[in-house]
Amino acid sequence: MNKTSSKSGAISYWVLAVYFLLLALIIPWYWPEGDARLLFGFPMWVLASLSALFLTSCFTAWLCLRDKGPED
Amino acid sequence: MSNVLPFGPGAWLFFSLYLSTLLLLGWIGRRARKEDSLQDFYLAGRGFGFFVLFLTLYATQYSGNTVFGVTGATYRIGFPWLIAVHYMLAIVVFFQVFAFKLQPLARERGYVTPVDFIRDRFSSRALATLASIVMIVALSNYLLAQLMTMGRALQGLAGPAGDIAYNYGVVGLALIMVIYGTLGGLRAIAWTDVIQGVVLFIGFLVLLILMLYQFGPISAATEVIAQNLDPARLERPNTPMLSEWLSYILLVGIGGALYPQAIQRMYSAKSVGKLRQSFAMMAFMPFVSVLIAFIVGIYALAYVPGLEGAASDQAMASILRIVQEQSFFGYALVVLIFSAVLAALMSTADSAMLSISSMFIKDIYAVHFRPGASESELTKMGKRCSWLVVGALTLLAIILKEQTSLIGLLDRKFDLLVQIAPAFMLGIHWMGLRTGPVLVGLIAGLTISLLLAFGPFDFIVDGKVWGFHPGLYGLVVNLACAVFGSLWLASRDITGSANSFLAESEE
Repeated sequence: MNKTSSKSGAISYWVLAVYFLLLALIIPWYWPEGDARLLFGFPMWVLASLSALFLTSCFTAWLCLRDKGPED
Repeated sequence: MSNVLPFGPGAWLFFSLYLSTLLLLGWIGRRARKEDSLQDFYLAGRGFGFFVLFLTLYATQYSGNTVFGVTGATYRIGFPWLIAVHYMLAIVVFFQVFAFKLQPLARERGYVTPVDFIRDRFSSRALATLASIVMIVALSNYLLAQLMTMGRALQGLAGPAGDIAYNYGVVGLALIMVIYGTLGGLRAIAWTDVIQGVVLFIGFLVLLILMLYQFGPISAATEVIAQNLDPARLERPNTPMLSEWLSYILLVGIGGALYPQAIQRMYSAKSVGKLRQSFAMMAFMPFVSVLIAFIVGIYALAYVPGLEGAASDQAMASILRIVQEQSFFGYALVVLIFSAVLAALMSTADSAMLSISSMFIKDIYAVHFRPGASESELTKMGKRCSWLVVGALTLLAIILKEQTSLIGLLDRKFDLLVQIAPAFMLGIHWMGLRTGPVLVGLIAGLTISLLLAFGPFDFIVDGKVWGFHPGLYGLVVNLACAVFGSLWLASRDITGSANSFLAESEE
């Protein structure tokens, strides 16, 4: 089995790096504690975290679709 | 039951038609079987294309917990429970670690249960049996949670007659599920998942529209919370809770990716390409399902005060009851949403039931009690096993109805499931991973997880150690044993037990 090819299902280092970056954005440690400012009815930290999550969804979908199985 | 609940005859006719359709699909699934084999019964002949595969993955992953557990936890905690949306996506992210390599392997080597891979990869009866037991116990916990939610779904709408409705809900829905599940196996369950997935998807969208129509914009609900409740429900999670966020993402992400029923859906895909397309769609589903359940929890927090403890899991049902009493339009939509709730519960519970039955029969019964049994005999025993498992868990769901909050049940299941991760996620990529260290790691990981989860330790707060779930501490030790043990054996030039899997992978 090929251990490095993305087509074999292994995840490469740059993909891991992107996921770590997105994880750091999803968890709102960077947002001031006690801040409850609202935007569109949601606390702003919620919108920041959801935006990062949406980027994660797009990146994941792109990763899934960039390679196709041999019979497809 | 119609005397107990405040639904009229029209609504019950709708539910009856819906539930009858599931039974009909079970019967059609039975007629469509191609052979009397485990592969046909438990994997539907490995022929699922994108449409069925995506909807069966969706309906199975989004469960009663998505609807009631998330709404209830959001009701208790407020906006910091946004983590529920994140951890559902984490499952899809962790699928990628092994799914695209496992699917073709399963097809080539004829795997039926998740443990078939472990048995093939590591050639160890002890490791395979322990992995089966872990998966069966974790999944039984999950099935129990679904059955309890079925009861609570009816309990919340029943008002004073809630206790009787709970018992009827658990028994009636479990009976229907076990009938269609044992009639047609995975084929019937996946077909019912297609209907349930569509109903669930529409139900979530209707639910969002209904909240906006009934209670106004979310900004109004947030204002009510800001004025009447603890401001911590609006603020960014505090530092200990941020640790919990990371813990939930890792625990549910890894554990959820290793759900036996999800792995068996990977096996049943027609090709890797279909699996990739399905996962790409799944990556966006948290936004149209669990995020909506979270928003409903915020509305309930604002407009349905006073639910405490396990009763908070009825936040969704309570808010629906308010909508239902307002107008006929609201009533009709609640009927549709209630169907979606049933869909979420039954589509997850039936898949868990089928997976438990397949693992018990193929990994325990056929290995330890009847090694020479025919496929036909095993399939027949699998059906009996489904009845027994569902019967026992239904009884337990009735006995335990006031005992445990749904999120509590969820946590324990994942603490166990993540311990299988080294064998699957590392074992499929690294051929240097040895059997002995993986077995030792699994035992160490389980011991630590269970000790921390149930031991009388002062440093455990709310079932977590410094904000992290016990299962993750177990997983760190488990992984260390597996990796360093394998490297140590390799350094001493001790070869593991040879098998065809390793031999072929080295070619």
